[in-house]
Amino acid sequence: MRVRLHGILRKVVGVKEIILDYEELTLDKLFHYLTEHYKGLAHYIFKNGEKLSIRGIIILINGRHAMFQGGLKAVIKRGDVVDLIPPVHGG
Amino acid sequence: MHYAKILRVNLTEKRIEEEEIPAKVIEKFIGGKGLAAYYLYREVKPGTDPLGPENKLAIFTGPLTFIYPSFARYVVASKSPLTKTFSDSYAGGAFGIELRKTGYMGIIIEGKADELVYLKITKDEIAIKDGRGLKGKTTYEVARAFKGYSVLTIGPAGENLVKFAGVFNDLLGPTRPGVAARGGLGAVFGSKNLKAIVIKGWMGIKELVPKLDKSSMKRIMKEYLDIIMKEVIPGMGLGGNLPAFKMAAEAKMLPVRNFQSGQYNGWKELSENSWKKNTVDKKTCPTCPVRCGVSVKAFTGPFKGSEVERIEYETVAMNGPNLGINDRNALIVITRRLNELGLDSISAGSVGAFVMEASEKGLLKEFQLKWGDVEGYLKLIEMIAYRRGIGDLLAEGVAEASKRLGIENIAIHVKGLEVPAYDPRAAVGMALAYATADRGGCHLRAWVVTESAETLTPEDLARLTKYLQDRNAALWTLIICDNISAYAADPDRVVKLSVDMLRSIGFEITLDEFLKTGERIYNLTRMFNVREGFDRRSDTLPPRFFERRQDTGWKLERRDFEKLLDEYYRLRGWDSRGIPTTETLDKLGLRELVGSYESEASRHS
Repeated sequence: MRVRLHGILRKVVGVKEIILDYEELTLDKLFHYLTEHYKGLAHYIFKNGEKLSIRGIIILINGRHAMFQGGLKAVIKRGDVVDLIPPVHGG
Repeated sequence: MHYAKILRVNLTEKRIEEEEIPAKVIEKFIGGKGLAAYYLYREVKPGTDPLGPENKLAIFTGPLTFIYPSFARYVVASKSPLTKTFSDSYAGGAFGIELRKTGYMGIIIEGKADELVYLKITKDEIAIKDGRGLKGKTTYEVARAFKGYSVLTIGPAGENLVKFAGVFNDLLGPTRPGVAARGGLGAVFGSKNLKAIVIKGWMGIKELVPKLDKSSMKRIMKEYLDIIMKEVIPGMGLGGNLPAFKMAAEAKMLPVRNFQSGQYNGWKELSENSWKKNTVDKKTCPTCPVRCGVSVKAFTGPFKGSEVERIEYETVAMNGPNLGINDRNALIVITRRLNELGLDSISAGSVGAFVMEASEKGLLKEFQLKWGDVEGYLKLIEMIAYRRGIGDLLAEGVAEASKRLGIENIAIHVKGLEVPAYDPRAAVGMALAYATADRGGCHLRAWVVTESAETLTPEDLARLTKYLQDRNAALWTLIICDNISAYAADPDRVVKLSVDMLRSIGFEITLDEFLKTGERIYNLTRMFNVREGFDRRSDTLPPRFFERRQDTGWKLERRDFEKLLDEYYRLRGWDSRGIPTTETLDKLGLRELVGSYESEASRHS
């Protein structure tokens, strides 16, 4: 599975894309992995009590927003593409 | 209770009257958008021709206008000829403050003058004046004719009833100019033979607010200015919301070639950094320290010497990548020409892109325009403003033009209002915002794409959209500048301060009541639209946004969108058709107003 980063998230993480070798994992697990390995993401993905929370980022799994695929419980499979897009300020 | 009055101007009967706003109306609707919605709901009957004499214009300021710094904006509202919905458009500049300084919270304009007129409001004279000499003049020419006044005017496009003509004020300074162009309300001016409103206010703060709590004001002012100086100004960068261009480009959500894609490799030429090379001045509204108005000039190329007083993100995006134009100098001359003729730059960019795509695909026989053809686009703008050739059809807006041409599938609008510059297949939150905006495809009612909120479920997004729409409707009763809440680190602090400001001038209101006022207004404008026949069927998006994007593969599925709509209606207390329930109207104290219309309508049926 591939995690593509857009906008400021590229700078925060330092790469355009992260490739992960998993058969299957939930969005919740993916976020745990990402925040553990890329500390700069803590502003956008963080722990709110027991659960994970996000700040403004748009999450697309195979081009479809994660909110329509179960939110944090959305299942990501081998070969899937996850896009992480930050919010825009002003406009 | 705060005392306020309006001017009622009947152009048919050549009559101007002063009218007090009932205290209970101010209590429920405060000012700005609220009062405009109240008067238009009461006085513009359903089915009214937007360009007929029965339609009315409501031009309002808010109770804080001129009293607190940066509260300088006004609203112009009417039934839109473009969308046939309630439509409200806002602008800065000096006009709002000058209107407030007359002691009138707003002006209601009704009827139709026999010949072209303008309205003059000064301490010595409030009159409908002969405006025949202004016929055909551009917005800048009208501004030049009334030096020393704040001038709000339409251009030739408004006179020619172009359905996306706007109103323009203070184009020749000395303040930042204002453009209230969405929804075609300039055409409503044109339909009434009203070319301009020329104002010079005369009252001071003491006369306007005799019961001002000065010690509270001092404290609030300090906190408010602190937010502006430490958060808003640094956040705005160059101004004109131009930093958004880079962010939207990097997020691949720019409108590219009529929203066919969102990835745009040439974005750096049009980014904030590049615009710095063209910036010659920064202007601001009276009383505001922000200086967001970016004046730009072309220094090279065929358009060398062209200048425009204010450039901003939406204009650049809709007339840049959306048309395949990647030249700042060309964008300066395009914006200048749109302003002169009096056209909405978002709608014009959308119509231009529609023509270019139709040309490319062989869908348009009588006219051809290639992507990136600046000269051709400038000619097209001219044809639209003067309704020449195909311009006559395009002057109806992209929805109507595409319908008559049988190519609605490439028209990008919601309820007839051309959609602004965020692709909702990337900025998914904007899908619901566009579909449920009371004036049609608009980003400002719920500017979700700028929010740092959690949207992990459809309910999260629906709740956020509703909250922003209600909050903004409340803030627009005061007509706060959108930049303040957009760039403040904590927008809710701005909302709380706004309530404190209201209390300092004599309003007895709590934060909850203030936010509930916003919800009341949003339901009232919804009811305005419902009685015009709008419902769930019109709360939708153009077909393109339900197609997979070729560049990124991103897509908004129709079933997902419908789910969002269901959640949104549920949270709003609207039924599955999108109509506010009786309980909702009761809860918001709207039954008397809405009910009285229903009983009146039933008497006529």
